[in-house]
Amino acid sequence: MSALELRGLRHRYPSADVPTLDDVALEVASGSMLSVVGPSGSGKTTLLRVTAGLTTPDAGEVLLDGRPVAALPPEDRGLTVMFQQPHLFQHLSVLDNVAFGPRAGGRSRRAARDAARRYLELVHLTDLAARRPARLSGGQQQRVALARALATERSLLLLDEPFSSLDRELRHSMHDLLREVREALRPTVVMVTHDLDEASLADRVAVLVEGRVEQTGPVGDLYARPATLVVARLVGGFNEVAGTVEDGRHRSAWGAVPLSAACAVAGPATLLLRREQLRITGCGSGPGPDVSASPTPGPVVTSGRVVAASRLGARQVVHVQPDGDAGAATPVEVELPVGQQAQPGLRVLVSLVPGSEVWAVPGGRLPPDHSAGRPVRRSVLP
Amino acid sequence: MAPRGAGIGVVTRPGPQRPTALPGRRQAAPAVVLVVAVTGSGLAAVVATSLGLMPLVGRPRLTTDGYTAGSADLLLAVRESLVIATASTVLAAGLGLLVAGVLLGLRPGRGPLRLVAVAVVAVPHVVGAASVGLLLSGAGLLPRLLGISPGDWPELVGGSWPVATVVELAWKESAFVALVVVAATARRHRALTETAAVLGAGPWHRWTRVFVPTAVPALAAASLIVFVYSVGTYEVPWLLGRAHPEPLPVMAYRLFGSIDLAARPAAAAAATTGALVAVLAAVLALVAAPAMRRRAGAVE
Amino acid sequence: MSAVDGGARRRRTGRPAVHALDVAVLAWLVVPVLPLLVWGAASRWSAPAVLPQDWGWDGWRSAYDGGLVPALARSTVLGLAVAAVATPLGAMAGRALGWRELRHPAPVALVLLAPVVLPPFSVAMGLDVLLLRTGLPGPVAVVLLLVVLALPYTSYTMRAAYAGIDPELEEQARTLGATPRQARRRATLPAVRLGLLTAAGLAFLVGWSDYVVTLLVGGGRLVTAPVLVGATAAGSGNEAAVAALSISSVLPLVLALVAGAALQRRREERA
Repeated sequence: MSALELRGLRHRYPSADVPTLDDVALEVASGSMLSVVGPSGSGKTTLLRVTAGLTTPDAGEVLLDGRPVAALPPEDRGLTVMFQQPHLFQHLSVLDNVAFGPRAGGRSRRAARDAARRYLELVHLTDLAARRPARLSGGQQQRVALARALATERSLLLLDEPFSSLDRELRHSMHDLLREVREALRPTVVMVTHDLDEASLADRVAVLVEGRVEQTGPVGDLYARPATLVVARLVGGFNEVAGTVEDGRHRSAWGAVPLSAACAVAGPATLLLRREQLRITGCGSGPGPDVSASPTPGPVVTSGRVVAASRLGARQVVHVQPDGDAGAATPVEVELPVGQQAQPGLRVLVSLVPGSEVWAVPGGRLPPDHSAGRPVRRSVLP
Repeated sequence: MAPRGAGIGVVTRPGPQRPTALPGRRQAAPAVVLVVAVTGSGLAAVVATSLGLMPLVGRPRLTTDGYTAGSADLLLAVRESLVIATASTVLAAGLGLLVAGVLLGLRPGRGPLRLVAVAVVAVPHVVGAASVGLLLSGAGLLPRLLGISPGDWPELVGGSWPVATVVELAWKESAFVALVVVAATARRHRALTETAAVLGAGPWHRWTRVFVPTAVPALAAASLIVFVYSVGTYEVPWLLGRAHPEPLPVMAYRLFGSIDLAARPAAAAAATTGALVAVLAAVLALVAAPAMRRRAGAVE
Repeated sequence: MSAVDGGARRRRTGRPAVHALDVAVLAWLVVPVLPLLVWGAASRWSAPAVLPQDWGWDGWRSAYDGGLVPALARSTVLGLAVAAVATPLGAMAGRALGWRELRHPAPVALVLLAPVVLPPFSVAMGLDVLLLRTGLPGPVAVVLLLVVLALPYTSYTMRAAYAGIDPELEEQARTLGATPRQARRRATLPAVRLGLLTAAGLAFLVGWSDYVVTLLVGGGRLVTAPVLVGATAAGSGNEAAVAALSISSVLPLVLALVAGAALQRRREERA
């Protein structure tokens, strides 16, 4: 049985034109972790609030361990929430903050503090038990907040972008801590985030855009097999080529490209080529293409000229303006292998890395940077 | 889809009220109801009395006698109230701004001055009036310190101008104005002053171009409160003012306590007029506020 | 320490430590109460002497005989009663305003400001008229009207206090298992306790220092410290008694203020 099941959730703020949640259905298996990703304003936080009982949906159901909880207030739902802000109680010591849940659950002060000590140990903060929250660093505060949430000993943990206000290093150490905690306590976790890296902590990811679930599955699927163009754009790093799919091949100005067998798209479709699926082969800086001369590692998709280059960590990403018919298209982004470099002005052939699984999504052209009328951040990847 | 009548419907009705968000209306209701009930019934009764509708004895009869019978005195009282309130407000605002400036510029170790200002706000007006009387009267402390004999000392207490009354109000209310201004500007004061200093503004420019403009909204709000308070104050002009002409509250209270039962409508008329003056001032201020805020916004 | 303040500080070591403006402001705030302080320790001080001819505590004796202690007790009770009602009511309204839980906040905000604008003597006079007809006990009416006069202060103080904390704090408590009541008692109210203390102090002050409402609605039967000060000051030749009464009705407030400031400084130093 699922630890959490959402069915047909709908919600709209009284003053808003568009719904925050539009027929959302999700399931989370007991002991597993689901990440909900989406751009800001996509309804992620509302989804969490509805689950927690902090916001009442207009329609739909929340089931915890199979039982509907619409009538239950947050404190009786058997779950707990960690917000973006740690919200530590300033008038209580670190220990008493962590003991808050057990105390509210009716345990004696002593028993609650004993329990709190165990959870402080779990987040490696035993030394700070007597401190006031105001005297903790941001990372320590969020650790205390995690310990406090865990100390409620509730089986469902809802995390609302809890690490997004921390700097990179602290965020990574919180990720490690979360892994440890999952290992030790096996809670069911739902985490809302706009960071795909963070989302990959989870067993499964749900992509929420404008209140609709666009895709659910393992996080790798978002990169290899995005369900829609909206998801692809949210993930970022894809080159889009409008065309048509016939007999498992995508036909466009770039020619006929065979699609992965798993891709069941037909009719108008957009070819999605990840920038790391492409390679370039230099062929001088002359005026015309000299296609025949250069051996390429795989099938050539287009020829063109490097117009810009930028860095992505140790690698270079070049923007290639395609020639001829495809010239009207936006530049193709290609991520070069470590060590390879290309200067703007260089004429190149763009080819597919051999053995690439090529993916396409239904639908033709969409205006760039828009998904159903709302601007979407082009990439949520570093 | 679950069959009809099964325990779990696919679509349920919205649950109970947002469990954590107590409806704000219910939270605010007791205070609002109490204010409306008490001030509403009090004002209604005083207006009705002024119109002869609630006589102590005899039959209710709608009449404007309360206003017209002693209309000359009533007008004089309005004038006296306006003079007192205007002078007190102008002085309190100006001096309050000065006090605020000094408080904001306080260096460490000068905190007691702030405490003094708070203490002045906490002093009951009747005590302040008693003290100012002992300071400014002919036999008061000030003429003694200055070596002026009571006969040569101007009649500041109970004289033809309400000097002592205004001084008392300006004194206490300047501390109030200062604390309001400090509360409103303290947070940004330091950053703004430092920015101005870095841009080359000297103390005078920092004061006139940075501090005063940012203080204006709070200063205006505090001044309105001072004005309506000064219109409504009884004990200060009663202790420090002269018998005639008297401001509205003193007149109202004197007539109200009069043995002549017919004076009650006149007393209520003075009270009603006082409320009207205060409300008018507030309405004027509210009308002027947006323009003022725009100007202050241009500075911020 | 900022550059501007640091500069001022350096200057101070070179020049006179005190600015003339600071002295003038201090004098403006303190001089008006000087006569009370001197008269408080004088038995005879006739004009034009700059200092009293006889020092002594006669004023205190006659103030005591005039009912100083019961008057102070009545003022205390009145202040406490006003604070006890106006603080929770103001806190509730302040929460609704500060946390934006009202669909139409403007009328509520306006109504709660109204008592500041309306002259208390006008409302008090009306209430006195009504008392005769309704039989409501005078002291109850005094407290009710003073609560109304205190509500602008308590509700606006609490509005600022609530605006300073995130409503999510209370939701956090709920999701940790607290009932609505527990969440308010253990999470929200402690977070606004400084505001509560300020609001209660202001409400107490309204009750403690009121003159005209007590006089009008109380019908002269409720003799509080300010009423006693007024009555004594209206007479002549009893300046020492006025001073003793005045000092008694201000000193507790000043002591409370100083204690509060010291307490806060200690807390700041500890943090």
